Amino acid sequence: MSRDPIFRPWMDQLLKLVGAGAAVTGIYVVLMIYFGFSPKTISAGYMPEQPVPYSHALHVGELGLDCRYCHTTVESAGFAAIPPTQTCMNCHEKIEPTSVNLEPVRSSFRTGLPVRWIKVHDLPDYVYFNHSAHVTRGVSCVECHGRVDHMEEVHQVKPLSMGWCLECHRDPAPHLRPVDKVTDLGWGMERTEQEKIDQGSEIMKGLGLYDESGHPTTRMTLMTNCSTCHR
Amino acid sequence: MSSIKNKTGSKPGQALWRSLDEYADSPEFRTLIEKEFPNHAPELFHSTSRRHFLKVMGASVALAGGLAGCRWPQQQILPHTSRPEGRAPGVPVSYASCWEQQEVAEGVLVTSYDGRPIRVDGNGDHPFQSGSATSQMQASVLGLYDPGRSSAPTHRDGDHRVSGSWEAAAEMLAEAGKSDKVAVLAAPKSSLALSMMRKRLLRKIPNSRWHEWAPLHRDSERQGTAQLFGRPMRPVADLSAARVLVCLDADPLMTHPASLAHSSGWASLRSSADDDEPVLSRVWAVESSLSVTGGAADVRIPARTADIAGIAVQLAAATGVSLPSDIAPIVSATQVTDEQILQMAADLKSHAGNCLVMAGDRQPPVVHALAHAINIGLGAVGKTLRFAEIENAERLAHIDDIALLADRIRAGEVETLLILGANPVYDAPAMNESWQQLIDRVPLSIHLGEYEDETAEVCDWHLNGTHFLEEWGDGRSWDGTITLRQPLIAPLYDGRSSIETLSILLDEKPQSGHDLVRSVLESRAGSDKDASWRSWLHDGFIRDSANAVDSAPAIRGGWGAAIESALQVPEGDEIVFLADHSLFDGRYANNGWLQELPDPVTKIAWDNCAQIAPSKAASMGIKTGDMIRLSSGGRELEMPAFVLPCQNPRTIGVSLGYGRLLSDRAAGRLSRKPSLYQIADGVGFDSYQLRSSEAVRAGYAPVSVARGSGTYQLATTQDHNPVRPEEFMGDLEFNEEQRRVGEFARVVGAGFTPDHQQVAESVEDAGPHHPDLKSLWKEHEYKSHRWAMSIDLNVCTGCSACVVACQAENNISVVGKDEVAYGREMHWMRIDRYFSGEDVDNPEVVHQPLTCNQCENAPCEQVCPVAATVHNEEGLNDMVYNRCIGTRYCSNNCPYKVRRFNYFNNTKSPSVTEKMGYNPEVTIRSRGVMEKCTYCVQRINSSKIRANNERRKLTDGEVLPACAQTCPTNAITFGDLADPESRVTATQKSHRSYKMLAELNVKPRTGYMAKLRNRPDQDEG
Repeated sequence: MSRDPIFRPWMDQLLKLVGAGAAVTGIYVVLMIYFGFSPKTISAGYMPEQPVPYSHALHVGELGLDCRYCHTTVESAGFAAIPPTQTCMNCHEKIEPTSVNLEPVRSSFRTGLPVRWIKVHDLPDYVYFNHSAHVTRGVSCVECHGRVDHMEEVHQVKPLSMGWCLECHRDPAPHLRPVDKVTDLGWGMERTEQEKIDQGSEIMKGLGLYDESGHPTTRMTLMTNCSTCHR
Repeated sequence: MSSIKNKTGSKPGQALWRSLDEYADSPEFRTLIEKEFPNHAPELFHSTSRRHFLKVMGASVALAGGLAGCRWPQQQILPHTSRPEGRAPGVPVSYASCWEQQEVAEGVLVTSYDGRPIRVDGNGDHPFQSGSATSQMQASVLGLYDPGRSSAPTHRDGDHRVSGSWEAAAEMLAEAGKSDKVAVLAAPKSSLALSMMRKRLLRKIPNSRWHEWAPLHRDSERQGTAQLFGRPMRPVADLSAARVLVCLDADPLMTHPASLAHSSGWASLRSSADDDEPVLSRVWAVESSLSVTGGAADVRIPARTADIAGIAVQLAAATGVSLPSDIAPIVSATQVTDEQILQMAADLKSHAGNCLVMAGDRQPPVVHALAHAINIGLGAVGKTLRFAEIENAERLAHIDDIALLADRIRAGEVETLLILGANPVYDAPAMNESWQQLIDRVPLSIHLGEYEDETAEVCDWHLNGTHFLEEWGDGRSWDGTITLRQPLIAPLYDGRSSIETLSILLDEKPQSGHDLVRSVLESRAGSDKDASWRSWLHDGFIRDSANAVDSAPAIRGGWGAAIESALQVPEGDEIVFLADHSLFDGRYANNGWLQELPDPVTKIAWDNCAQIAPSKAASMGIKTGDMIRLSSGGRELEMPAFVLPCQNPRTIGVSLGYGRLLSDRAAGRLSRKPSLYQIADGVGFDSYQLRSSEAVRAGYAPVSVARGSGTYQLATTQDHNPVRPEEFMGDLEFNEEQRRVGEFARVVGAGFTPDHQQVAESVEDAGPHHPDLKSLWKEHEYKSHRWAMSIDLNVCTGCSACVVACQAENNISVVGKDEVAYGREMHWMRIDRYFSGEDVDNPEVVHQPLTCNQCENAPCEQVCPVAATVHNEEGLNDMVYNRCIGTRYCSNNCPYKVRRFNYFNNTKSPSVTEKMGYNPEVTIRSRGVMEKCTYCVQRINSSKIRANNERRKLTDGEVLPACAQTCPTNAITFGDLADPESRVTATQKSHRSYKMLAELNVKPRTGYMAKLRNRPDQDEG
């Protein structure tokens, strides 16, 4: 009497399916981690609710306030200071003095206690980013913060990851514009890629990052040193 | 390793050594250097059990779970409601203020980061000092944020202490002000505002009296000048003019209150060594225990403290001072030969006018009188020395003052005792009764201080005082310049300063510190009072406010009457009580930075010890760490011995300020353990127990030394991180040890010039000889800045201010005594103290500060498996903490042993206040990460960004690492080698310049300049 085989023919089929399934799962897990945990996924688009529904779209986009009216220290210091309550009250003592939305601002002005804004663009503590070093070299606000002048509520547009920083640090030319245009967020949108590169290269020559013959100088290489951003 | 044994096996010891173990080539030292991981982590594995393993694993799982949260904690931004003009968040601002110790104020610049003071540096604009700071000034920031400070008034309630409030305390004080038998015991201060409050108190309360007590003071200097001139005067020395300086037990470069001014003056002559016409000074130090000045001296003569009076008399006679005729010719009872004294005298006389004799505060008044008689006789007044008038000239000596207070308490003349900052229960000698008993006799005792210390706990009330960074105040610098103090931060614990507390006691309407200080200085203001006040606050001092100088003080007849008695000294061994180089008199006992700072002389951290000479120790069969019993005047104390070369054989040196064990004394009296002890508790030995009133008066005490019971582990860093050239030389037949001596220090004489024959020869001989160096690696090219440092050993005194400056700047962790004993101290900068010479009782000393050398061919970079330490375009070895996985290969491969590894998470849970003290410009490191000196890359970057923003080039000297900024002698030069005009380029080209372990071809960026010893036996003609 013959015994039934333990491994039946259909099991060959199953084995292949299981193998394929494992491979797909493996790839899925890897891709899930790679994309799911990438800063593009978990950081870009971050939009916390602020204590005051301040609209950049209204103030900057429609009314045309310059970034530096509020973020006064951006050209001279590492931090682009969040404006003190006083700055808000300069106008809002007269304009919309009874608005419910502005109550936290008025209460801060009365009590001397700060408005507790939530940080949107939050770099890790071991990264030392300096605003003045960028805006005085022709890197516009829009390069990192996006079209804030179109945002009702500020959110993070770029991933702010190290790889993303390095894209520009390795090849800044297309991201530069004349220094007096850095806060003009909509400036030069119509330029072609080649125009951006040409214009950026000219600016970099002026800054000493490229020499006359178009070769990068050492100040270029310094931009990718570890201690440039990490100390 | 066998090659080392072969090579050194026949040679006992070394020509250059850091410790006696190394000198003797002892088995302990061999073990230390042959171990590949001397600081291996044994205790992690001692008690590995399943439970321990699970605990560790549990933590890892918890960590992994935490990661799943996707986003780091939300951060808030809290802007000002109305930002002060000119203030930008995240931009540090400096304010002038003043720091005080030994009744002398030092102007400081305090850096405030968003309202939090994080650094204290010297005020370079101050007329009497440079921009440098001592280790204690640097560390005072940590004192501000110390969670152990007392946080509220407390008072005694039955057997317990209960927390109270300042409202209740103010009521109590106002009531106390109505009593008519008030006594104040204050720590002496140079403050004019405090002096005004004292006068108001004495006027208002008829039977009140003001007493002052400090365990370390300069009374003998006051009394000595009073003997000589009829009134006490303050000798203000200018060491930049002193070609010959004789120190009689004096330590002008370290423990003297004007040490910063002295250091820069002394260094200005020493650093002329590379000028065309160098003016080298010569320092003679006659002393009983090795001081920082003694280590820096050209000629050092050990003598008993008691015998120095005799030496001073002989020196005075030899320099032509007319002494009272009845003084018998002194027979030299000391080891100091007549010849040495005559040589010293001849040296002084040949530089008449440009010479100076200084006496130390342990010496009796008559030695000070003799020293100044010599100075006046040799025409030093007006050149190297000026005598300034002092205020409060009529006051008693501290020890007499406190004895008077004890008598008055016993006589029932004190009903209310207000103690302002003094701590007599800990640091004053008992007056028949202990100070605890004396204070108990007073019906109402009130203590004001930063800590709930030994005195606070026996007082009825303790009031929490302010840190100097929290209060308004003033002080006088050594020359009398009025120096202002302004608060950098509101009192963290709602404390009150001394003057404010006195105002609560005296005034119907208490005044604020600001108003009190301003009112006392008002008379000095110009027509626009507000403008004067603002400009004083901005500068930190009042210009031209120094005390009047008597250019030709008249010597009183009969001044030498006390000489005879000063020469009657007991035979035998003596004990001297030293100001601790870190804790001073104990006031900084709860400061982790200072506790962990290796002493400049002994290299001991977290302890004090009995310093004993090698020959004495050998005769008694004592080794370092053995307990010895010291008996003096019926008092006994057991302490660990530390065998210290340079110690006089008949002197035991003991530093003060340790052994805070109040938990025993306070048994049952306190409801909680005062937090002061978190750091200070149980560290070291309370040597005040041995110090009697007589010892305070005489400056020394006879002592008998016996072997004690058992041994004690001292954490000394002197053998840590040994740099052993032969280890790298393998089997090459070099006997280079001797040459190292020439590298460090070169002996010259008075006729020294940089191109002098001797120096030329010693340059040739100095350093190792090696074949032509060829690199195995493709070397880096540098087109940008090439940062480099040079350290001039000729002016380095080993004072260790740089070590604390580095710690403050770079958020370096404190690890505690046990970890230091394992060799795991985290200091990025260490100062190796080398002895040289065959006489172990009096060798010569060289200090070599060592940080990361930033090698161009860096061995660390080549072995890192994860590229966590990489070369940058300016030649710095960047350390990337986030890449580091902790293999420690880099540290093993570092020839200078300058890398530090975080064995533990030392920054795991800092208190709220400790966090405030961190420098936000530098990353906080966690466990498992290697770290090291970065040449203060955060400062380089911020200077570069500033210069680029302004579209200009960096100027030489604009980038200054913390160590270079604070060095009192400007021994550290930092700059750009790519700039041919920079100072660092010039110093690295000096004849004296050498690179450490140059034969390894690692091309270090840090260069050293050899020390010059200006010896009389090398003088010409």
